[in-house]
Amino acid sequence: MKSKAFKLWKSVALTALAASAVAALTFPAVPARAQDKSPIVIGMLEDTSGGASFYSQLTAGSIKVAIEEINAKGGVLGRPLKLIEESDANNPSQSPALVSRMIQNGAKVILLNSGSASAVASKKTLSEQKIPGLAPTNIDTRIGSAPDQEYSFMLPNPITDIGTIYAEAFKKMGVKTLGVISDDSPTIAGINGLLLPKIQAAGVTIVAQEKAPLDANDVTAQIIRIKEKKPDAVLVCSLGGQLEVLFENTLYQQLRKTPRFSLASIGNQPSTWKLAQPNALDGLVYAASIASNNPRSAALSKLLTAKQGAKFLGLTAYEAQGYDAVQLVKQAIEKAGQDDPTLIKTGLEHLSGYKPSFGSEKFTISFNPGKHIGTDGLCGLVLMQFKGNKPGAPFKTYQAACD
Amino acid sequence: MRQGGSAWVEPIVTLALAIAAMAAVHGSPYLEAVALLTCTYAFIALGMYLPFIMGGALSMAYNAYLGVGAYALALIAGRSDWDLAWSLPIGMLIAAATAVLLGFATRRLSGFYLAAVTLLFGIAFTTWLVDAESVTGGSGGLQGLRVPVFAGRPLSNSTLVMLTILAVWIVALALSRLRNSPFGVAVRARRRAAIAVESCGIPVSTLTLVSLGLGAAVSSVGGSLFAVANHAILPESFAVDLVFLCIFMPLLGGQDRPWGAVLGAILVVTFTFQLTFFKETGSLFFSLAVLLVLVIAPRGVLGYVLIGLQKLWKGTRGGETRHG
Amino acid sequence: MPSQLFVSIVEIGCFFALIALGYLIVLYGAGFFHFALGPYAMFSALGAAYWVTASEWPLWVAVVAGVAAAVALSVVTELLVVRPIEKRVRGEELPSLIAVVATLFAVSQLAGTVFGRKPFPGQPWMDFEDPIEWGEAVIGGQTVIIVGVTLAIFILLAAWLRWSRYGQWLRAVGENQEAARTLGFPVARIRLAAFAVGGLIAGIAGPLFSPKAGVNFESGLSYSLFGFIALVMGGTGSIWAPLAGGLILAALQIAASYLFGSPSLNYATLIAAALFFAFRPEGLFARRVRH
Repeated sequence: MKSKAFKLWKSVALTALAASAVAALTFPAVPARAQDKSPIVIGMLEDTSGGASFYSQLTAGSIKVAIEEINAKGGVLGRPLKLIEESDANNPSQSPALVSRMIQNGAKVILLNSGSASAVASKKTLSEQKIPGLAPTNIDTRIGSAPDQEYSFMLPNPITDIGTIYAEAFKKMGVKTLGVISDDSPTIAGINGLLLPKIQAAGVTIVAQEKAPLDANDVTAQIIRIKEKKPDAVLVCSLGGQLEVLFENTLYQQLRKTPRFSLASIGNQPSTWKLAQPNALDGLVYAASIASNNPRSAALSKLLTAKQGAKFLGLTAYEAQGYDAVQLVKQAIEKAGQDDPTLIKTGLEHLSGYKPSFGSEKFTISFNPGKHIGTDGLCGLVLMQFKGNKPGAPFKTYQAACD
Repeated sequence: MRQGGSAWVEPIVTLALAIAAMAAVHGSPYLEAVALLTCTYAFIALGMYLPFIMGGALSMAYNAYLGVGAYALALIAGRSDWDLAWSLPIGMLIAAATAVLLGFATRRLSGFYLAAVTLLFGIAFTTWLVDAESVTGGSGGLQGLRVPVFAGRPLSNSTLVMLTILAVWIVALALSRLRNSPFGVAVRARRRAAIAVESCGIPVSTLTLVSLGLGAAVSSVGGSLFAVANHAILPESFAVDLVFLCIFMPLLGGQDRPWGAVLGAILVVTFTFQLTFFKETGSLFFSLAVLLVLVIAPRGVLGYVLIGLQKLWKGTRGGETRHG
Repeated sequence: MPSQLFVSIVEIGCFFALIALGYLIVLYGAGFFHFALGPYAMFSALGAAYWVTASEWPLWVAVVAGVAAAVALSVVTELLVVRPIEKRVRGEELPSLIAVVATLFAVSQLAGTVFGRKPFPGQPWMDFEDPIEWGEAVIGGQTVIIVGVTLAIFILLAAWLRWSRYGQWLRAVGENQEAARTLGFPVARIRLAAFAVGGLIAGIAGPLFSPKAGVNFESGLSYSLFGFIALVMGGTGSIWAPLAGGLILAALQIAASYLFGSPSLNYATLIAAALFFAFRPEGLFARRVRH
């Protein structure tokens, strides 16, 4: 006679088996063998809700416009491109699993469109599963550098280039002491780790370094601590969004006469400019990437105005780099002749002289097996200065030279 | 009363399920990642089971206990030559000590105060992880952790998954046994009738503190495994909102046995991570499900499954077995 | 300490004070710590911001709608969650605690689903061209409004508790629901009034404070937590105690940030809370028990 307890556990087992059957049904089926007309799947890791969402969604918008444009002209190798998306909410510990999931769902290339830290976290997964990943807008140098960088590529000027440019600008302005205010995201931590030593190596002393959490609602104490050290200039290192607006508002209130610098964030996020108090952004210098003499920037601007209408607030680095990333992937697939990931990676590594829609007119992008950071030179960056709460003119004191 | 032979049913059936799980995820990197995440959550849920479900004390610092175990492992891996196994006792000790301290500060106050002070601690812990850069690596965390050596070779991910699932099984089984031990009975009684327990000569607050400490120690083991699995840790993985999901796991899964906590962990990961239909609304759906359970169905999924099947069995046997 | 920081203390202190006041009202009327008040404030603020930005409603309509939503959420919580659970488990407090924590989480997720997960800027209640300069400090227009509305709410509520029928009943019921029921008080209605008023206060506090730094769906947790600490610090002895508690907590946080750097805010709050819990859980203004 079987005991009651045994029967109970048997029913538990049955329930669990049923549950795992349900779970199995939710897993996607193995993709069918590639046929001539089946789509080439591109995965996009993005941020739809976290600290990086301010720029991630700008990039995602132009990526989708680029894919639409390509598909309208017949696709790549006669096949349409299909985009699948996963959001990691700017949490790098989620990124590897989400990248794995997209690969499981058939992605042959991954566009890394979340924060820098997410891209860094994904490198190992990409190299283990031999799927190439391209980061259109992340500036953390580690993305394109060893270790684990065999399948990992980045498009923009890395933060070390911004460091070089700012160091030169500070030298020209006679800035000897700097105050730095940052947010506490892993992306900015990584970036500061690469940026600040470069500035210090050029002879600038950092006299104050303050941090604020991403959800801070008051930064007066931090700004006053910086104020008391009387720096020659202040640098704001932030992902952008509301927190940077709060930084700038408070800096304007407390340190109006001190020159202010930002990274590439707020200057490239037009939706945040109206959140600042009147005139609070006046004089702020930031690293833009759109030069007025680049015809491809103008062409892309027109395309996005047509496709996105009122949502398009003006071309920034983010949209341009997203668009260019898709074009580079397209060329790599064409070089490969098929959607095999390793061949696509090799295809990327043999792209050179690509003329992007950001940076100066003569600026080019190229990769090779030892160079996974796309920029050829510093003039992918343009220093711009705010006038009132809108970008004004290029920063007169210093600009990076194009060689 | 249970018959002698049935004492083996629970371990055997659950071990069979564990082995089935190992087989199901073997070979797919994505499924292995999901399994590891589920096991981490299961450790927190099991860590909560003892003080919370059994003892009725709601500590909300579980992100910190998890983090302690994780950072203990990461620091040992990154900064010393010690065997990585040392992170387990070190993490457990620190986590338990913290839990006891927080419990002690609020021992004479209602449960709301314990919840508040432990939540504050959880927040302060995350702040400290970002702040104490020289120790914890700051917001960048700790990367490139060395892989542990197991049976002479570097530990592969697949082996790690199997060991982790096995570890969950062992801990859940241990808690199940503990539940029926004199200690466990006393802890459970404290929840319903503290006065009765006191009058038996067992000091209630000591009981609570011990169960809080043990629960924290269990969770810190999960943290160490999490760090090993990811080869890197970031403060963001230990944010306070982790705690909310973790409270709900044992409730949804079923309060009657620790296996409910494990089932709850599987449900959480499935709903918030796996089921693409739910995607962003997964957490909302999940929290509403929890409210529903609390108001209408307090015994959770496992509880009702067991009751339902009990009734079915009783019906077909014509009332021979005793209801209980 | 520079005078600008005092402005910050007043702003933040008023916000904490309002949330703590909401807690106090629900404590008086239902003997219950309404941990979900923070998300109600967040829901109201986020809703108002969303309706102004995305739906292009006029500000006042959006704020009123936000407040109404907060009241509705609070009342629904009492009717569908707290009351049934308390009825089922007389005496045991853990299920209600878990339930209100679950509600906190559910309301946050609801806001995230309905309004999206991105942060929204708050909408200032009035446009001030030139902020007021007071010595070295700059006082923005919204700051004046925060202080004004906070004082108005406290004064109105003090009057309500003293002179209105429901207000007097609220004070009488306090934590002894059974005794009140035996004496013939309409306990169910009083509880409902308490929850509604608590939701109302939180609903106003949210949009009041959000212009300072915006709001997102996860803001509610810290609102709830710091409001609770402010209540504990102030004590339950007087209607004005939450104001004291709120200002003290804000002063503690800002002073810690200024003196020791930004992370100390959370350390200081934890230590202060632990000390208060361990040594003076009845707060500064304790309720005197009549013998």
